[in-house]
Amino acid sequence: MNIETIYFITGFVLFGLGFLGLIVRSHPLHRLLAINIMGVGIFMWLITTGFNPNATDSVPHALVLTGIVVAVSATAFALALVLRMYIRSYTEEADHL
Amino acid sequence: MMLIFIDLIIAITILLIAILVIFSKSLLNSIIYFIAFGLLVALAWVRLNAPDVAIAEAAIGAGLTGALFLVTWKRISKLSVNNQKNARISVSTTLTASALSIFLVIFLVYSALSIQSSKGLTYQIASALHISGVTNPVTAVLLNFRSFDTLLEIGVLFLTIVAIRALSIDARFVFNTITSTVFLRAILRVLVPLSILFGAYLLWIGSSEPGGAFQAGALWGGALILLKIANPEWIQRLHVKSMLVVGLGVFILAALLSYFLSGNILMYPTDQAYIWILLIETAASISIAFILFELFCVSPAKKPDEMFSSKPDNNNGVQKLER
Repeated sequence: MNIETIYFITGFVLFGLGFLGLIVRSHPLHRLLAINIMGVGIFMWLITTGFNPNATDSVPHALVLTGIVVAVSATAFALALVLRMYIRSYTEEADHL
Repeated sequence: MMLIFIDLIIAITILLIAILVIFSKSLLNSIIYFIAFGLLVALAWVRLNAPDVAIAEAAIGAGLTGALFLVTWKRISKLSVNNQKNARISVSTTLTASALSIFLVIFLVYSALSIQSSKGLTYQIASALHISGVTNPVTAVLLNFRSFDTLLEIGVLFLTIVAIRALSIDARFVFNTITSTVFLRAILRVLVPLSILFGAYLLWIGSSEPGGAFQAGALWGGALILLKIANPEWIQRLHVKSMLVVGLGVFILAALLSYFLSGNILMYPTDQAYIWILLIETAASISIAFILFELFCVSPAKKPDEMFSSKPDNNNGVQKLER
């Protein structure tokens, strides 16, 4: 067993765990956390493809760096949507009173 | 042999913490576990010889994403009156989902293993590194060989800000969740200059060692968020809107200029590549810092003075909407 194999398996198990969380949890923030975990699983697989003790491939690293930034943008937008959703239900509630 | 044990421990801890993130009853616990998860994943990146990714993961993946989740949690927890219908997930759904995820994992492992392993582009990068202008191969890929991708990435960040502003979230609900104290301000007097300095160091060292525009931008963004908490009025004096576009603007200008100079988009004139990369990176990291800061603030597309005119009252943090 070598280091790539360990993280290769960890990456895919993380993806599976995230997928499970996406279905079984109902709160939108829990679901977003689960999606982020799925993303980390994919990043882990990508990094292991470039791993080599002597000459590490930098292209997957650049891809994952881009991926992390895009993931945080998407998460931030989703969080803003969640906030908007809660504000809407809150103001509707206030209107009913 | 010893080191394999370390990897095994890191991998198992990552998986356990991921389980805690997903199955914790309390949302706050999940978010805090998620931050710990990001830091452990950063350790895994270090073990996998990816220090650039490790810095970005710790700063953006764990720190900033965690902060965004925490602040959203705080904001919505004041809004949930009784719309928490906590939909029960039935046992049969849980079982089906578990079976489906196990199947998914097996299928993905199988298909990933069946991909022909290749040497990747290690050789091509190593042989072209001397003309890229930098010596860190990750920076060379990001800002020279595939700089078009990075241009689009800055575009994605910029679009996110446009989209969030377009949601026009009512400023009354985006109250400052942390009050500024003397203690906080005393710490910030040391912490903010340090993080600005360290960000500049990361930006500068990015050409030869792990570091670069994104890591620097993340640190500066963190410093801006702290400044905003300590003194919300001060931050208005910075020209936030122009800071948001400077990165994308300089990048597009560089693309146009290089097109006229060399006939190819973002193909820098030889010998000058380093200066071009440094200029683009500096502008990009300023924009990244302000964009990450704005992601935290979710400002609506309104003038700043309108935003702060309605101060939330102290009783419940949220004013009742006047009709």
